[in-house]
Amino acid sequence: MTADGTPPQRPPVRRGPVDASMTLLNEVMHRPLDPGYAAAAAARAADGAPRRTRSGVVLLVVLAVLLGVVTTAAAIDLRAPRPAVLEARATLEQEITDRQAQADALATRSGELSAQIGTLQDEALGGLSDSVLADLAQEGALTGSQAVEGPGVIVTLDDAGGGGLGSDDASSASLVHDSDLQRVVNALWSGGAEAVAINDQRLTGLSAIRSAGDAILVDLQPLVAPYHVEAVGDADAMRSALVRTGASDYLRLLSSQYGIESSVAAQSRLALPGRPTPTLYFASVPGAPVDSDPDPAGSGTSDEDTAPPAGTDSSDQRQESVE
Amino acid sequence: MIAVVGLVVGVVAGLVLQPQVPVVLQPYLPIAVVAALDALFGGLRAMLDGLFDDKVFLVSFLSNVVVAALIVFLGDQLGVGSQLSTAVVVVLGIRIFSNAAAIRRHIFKA
Repeated sequence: MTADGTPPQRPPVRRGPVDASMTLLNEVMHRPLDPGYAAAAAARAADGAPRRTRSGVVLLVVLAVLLGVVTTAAAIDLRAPRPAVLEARATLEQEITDRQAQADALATRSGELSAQIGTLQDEALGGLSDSVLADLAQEGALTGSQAVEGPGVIVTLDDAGGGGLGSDDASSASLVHDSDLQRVVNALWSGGAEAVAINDQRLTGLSAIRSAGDAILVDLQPLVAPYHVEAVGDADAMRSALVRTGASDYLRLLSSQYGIESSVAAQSRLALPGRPTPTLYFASVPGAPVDSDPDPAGSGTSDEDTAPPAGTDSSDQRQESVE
Repeated sequence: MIAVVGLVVGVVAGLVLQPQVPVVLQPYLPIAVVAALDALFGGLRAMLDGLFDDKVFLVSFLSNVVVAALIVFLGDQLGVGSQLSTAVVVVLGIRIFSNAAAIRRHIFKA
């Protein structure tokens, strides 16, 4: 950038191989020094020692100090993180934490209330026969409203590469997908599982295993890898069902193709949490509260009318579909 | 040489005082700093060439910064701000490299 319009006194020091017609490139590549320096030097040589007035010197110093301050201020400002961005980020983080705490508190409250409902229900039904109460407990276990425990299997799936969030090499293929979990869960149901939970999220007839982005949601609750699918029921039957339905082959394929490690282990005792009783959308109780069907009519996924009489082991009951 | 002393004094003052840059000017800061670097390298090379001149140095410094910021401003108004910024950075970058090479030849004779 020439400071003044004087023609360059000093010819370019060397002519490169660049074509002479490419003046712009020649200008940029071979004469980067401001021609003003050469002009000033030539003027000095012609006039002898330069004479400077006092005001000229003061002006130069003021200008130099000013430029130094401005450049330093600019550099400092560029190095500092943008406060607006930080502030917005902090606000968002705060909001996320607040909402999560709120959701946790509400979930706790919901759990307390459903425990209260259970106690009240037991009290209210205290005068009824034991068979009705047993029925109720049985169906509570089937609908997932009651916490259950018993023997079963745990199927564990983990994202390839440890499943660390935010790691760049974790492509979508190396993550466990919702369909993988659906496949495992459906195999377990078909193997006679009486209760299934993924990472302590109990599955009911209305549960959905879905994905949002890279996260897997069970009933809108995001899960974090590794995924533990716990199923209470006949362990041998469920393990053979895993093989029969091809889920085992599928897991092996995931392992060999995408590095998604999985394991199936029998457990002598598993404790699965309950889930609050779902709202009944269609069913209403016309008269006595005893005859109500605990399963909402909208689900249509459990065939409880084939349930054996209460008191027997219900390992042959099926809840075929968990969508 | 007085210009260099003044510049150093200014840099120290800036570091100590930490003045706030108006928000309006912030988009032009990166280019202005690159232009200032170009002027600095040009001055250093001129010094080694024995051609250094206070007035030329300061005027080229000031005009570099102002013109660079102006180009970015114009580009922003025309909707080609980022492209013009790239153009300015490329040209100034080449100049800085060439001057740095000349300085290297002066110092290391290689």
